[in-house]
Amino acid sequence: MLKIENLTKSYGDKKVLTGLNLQINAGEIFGFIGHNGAGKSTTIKCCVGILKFEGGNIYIDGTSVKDNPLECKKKIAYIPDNPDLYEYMKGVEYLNFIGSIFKVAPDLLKQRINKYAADLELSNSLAQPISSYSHGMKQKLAIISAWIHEPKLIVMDEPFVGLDPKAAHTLKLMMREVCDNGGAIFFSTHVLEVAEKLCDKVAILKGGNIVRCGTMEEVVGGESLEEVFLAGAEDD
Amino acid sequence: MIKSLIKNEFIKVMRLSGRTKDKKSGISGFASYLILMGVIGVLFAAMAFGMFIVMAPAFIQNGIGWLCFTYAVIIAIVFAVVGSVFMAQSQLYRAKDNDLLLSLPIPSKLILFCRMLPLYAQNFYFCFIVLAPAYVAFCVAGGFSFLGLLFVLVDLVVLPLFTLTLCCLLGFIVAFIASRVKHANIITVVLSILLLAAYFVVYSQMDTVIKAMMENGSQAAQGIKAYVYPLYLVGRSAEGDWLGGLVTFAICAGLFGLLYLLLTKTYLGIITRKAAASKSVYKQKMVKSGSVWGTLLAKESKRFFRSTAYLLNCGMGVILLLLAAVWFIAMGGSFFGELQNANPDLVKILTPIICIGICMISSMDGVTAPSVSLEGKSIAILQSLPVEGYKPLFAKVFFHVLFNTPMAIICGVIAAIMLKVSALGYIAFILMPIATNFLFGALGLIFNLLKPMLDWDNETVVIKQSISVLFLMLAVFVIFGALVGLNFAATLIVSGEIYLLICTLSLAAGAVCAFAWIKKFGVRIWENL
Repeated sequence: MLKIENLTKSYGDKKVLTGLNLQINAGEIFGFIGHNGAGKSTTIKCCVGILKFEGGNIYIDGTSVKDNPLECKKKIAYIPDNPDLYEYMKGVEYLNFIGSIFKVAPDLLKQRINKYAADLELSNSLAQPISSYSHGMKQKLAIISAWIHEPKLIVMDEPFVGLDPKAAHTLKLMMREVCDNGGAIFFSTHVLEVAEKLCDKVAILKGGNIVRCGTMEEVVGGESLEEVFLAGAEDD
Repeated sequence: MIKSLIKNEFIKVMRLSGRTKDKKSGISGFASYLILMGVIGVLFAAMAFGMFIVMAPAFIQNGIGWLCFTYAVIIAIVFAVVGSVFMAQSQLYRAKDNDLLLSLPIPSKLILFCRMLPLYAQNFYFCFIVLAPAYVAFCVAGGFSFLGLLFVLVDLVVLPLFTLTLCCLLGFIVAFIASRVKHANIITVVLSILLLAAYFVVYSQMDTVIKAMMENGSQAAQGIKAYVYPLYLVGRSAEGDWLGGLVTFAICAGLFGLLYLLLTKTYLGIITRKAAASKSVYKQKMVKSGSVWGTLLAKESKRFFRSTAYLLNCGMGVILLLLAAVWFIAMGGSFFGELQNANPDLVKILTPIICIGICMISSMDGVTAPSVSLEGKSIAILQSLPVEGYKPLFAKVFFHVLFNTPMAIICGVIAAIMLKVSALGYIAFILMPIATNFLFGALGLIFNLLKPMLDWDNETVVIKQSISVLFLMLAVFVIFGALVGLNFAATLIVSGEIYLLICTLSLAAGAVCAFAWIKKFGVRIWENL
């Protein structure tokens, strides 16, 4: 579903990603872990086509992000780390906007909005302006907007930040449902417990490259993810 | 702490474009700001000097030399209040970093003080470019006194305090009402339009008032002395009168002190209070989907109409054209009829100028000039969606065209009827506003793509002061100035209608080039923002 080959990216003289390789298959929830500034958000932004990269390539379901970004964007949904949504819109207007861009049929759109808004307990606030939303409500809206066009791959940067425990639980169920239906999830997180319990595979990013990658068992062995991560940090 | 706060406030106001991540761009932004304000200041100061050098000798001869400085003070007050009033509310009450600053151990009165300083600087600037040349003119005509200079210097410091008091008071009233009503935006728009209406009334009467001021100096001097004694005293301060100087200082400083006390008592309450929002209930019928173009246009429309600052600053041309259309209907027939009888050649020259004027007013609504910057941090939404890069950009221009063109055409057709133009003239009066709005909509977007400012704290600064907006205004004046200038030569060779059609074709060709640039280079810039 997602294949990253020798990805390199620099900001000026600073090399952020140095030949990163990664593969995510359909049906997988893939966790991306790394310390602050390791390059997680940069990798994610390159994958969703909002950041140009110098070397390597990224393929979404076989299509190159470099050569055909538009076709790739049709297959994915992206939730940024900070939900900076259009504050001048109402919640439902924002969902209409996303639904229209992805050309979701009106009946389907209605059905999906009702379902996901009910699941995340946002139905009562959909007619309110986004400017009146809390951080968590904005995050819920961003999640609904990602789910309403049923993308093959959902890419999320720190999706659990700001969510209440119930919404976080609902999101985990929604993520599993996507994978059960043949989709894939790629998300970054600092909450190692979440990654450990939820992810089928995990990658630890350090200094612009992946230091460990594989199924949870392969990565942690007999230890906990936290121990592996901290041991990696101490190697510095 | 105070130094950092003050520096932060000035950087926010003086940044014209770009992200100030590196020192160089910050310095160049600051330098651009200073150069721009310097050029505008010199122009206005030259105009003020020209006016007062004519006025001063007669007044001094009649023993009412003080009236010259009193007039300068009145003009400076009007100028400073009009120039700063719309910034005051957003600067004091609507900054995005209010929550951040309030969470830090900084007294709210200090935050208020630091927010006021850039406003004071702005008021000082407006007062300075009127009062300084007026005083020089006064000295040239009537001689110099050390005490006079001293008190004028004091006036230069305290009069901006007085105008700042007026601006902040109006800002406070708007913010106070807005924090307590459901439809704060509507209230703000209505109050702002009332203020603007008052400004236009004053502006339209300015010529008559200045003439009357110059011709009836003695009566004006008596009236001011009898009814507005402080204005007499402030005028006397320029002649070195110590009572005038002291009273001016006491009034300005005292009023500002009172206002500062009022604002410090209410500041925290206003900025932390959330107005009661009208509770709308979500209904399934609210879910709608449309075409990509329709959706992008609707997005631009919501961005525009739901921001008071955006609507007021970039929608005023439509209101002006509406007023012009009303004037054409009410007075145009008789006015142009009389002109036709008196001098038919003048009407011939005037016809293209009126059409160009309509287009100029219309294109001054630079809806697109701050539109990229206004995307702010949410720009990633559009960038991550599966739409070709040119579509969101063209949607911005199309919204500009859709918003501005209908009123320009209506006004143009009414003007054409009143001017009794030929069939070709009608075509020009309809097509030229269309070509104009396509061109200037695209130009505004290009300027903003070249000079974007996405990390703003206060959208009013982006809308009013960003360099893309200033570039667009400059382009409007240069291009339409050239068209008016060329008109005088062109009408010797071709008819006014033909000239307008040539202009329309030129503007349309410019628009095509601008659109091609956006599609080729603009999209690349947009995708990398």
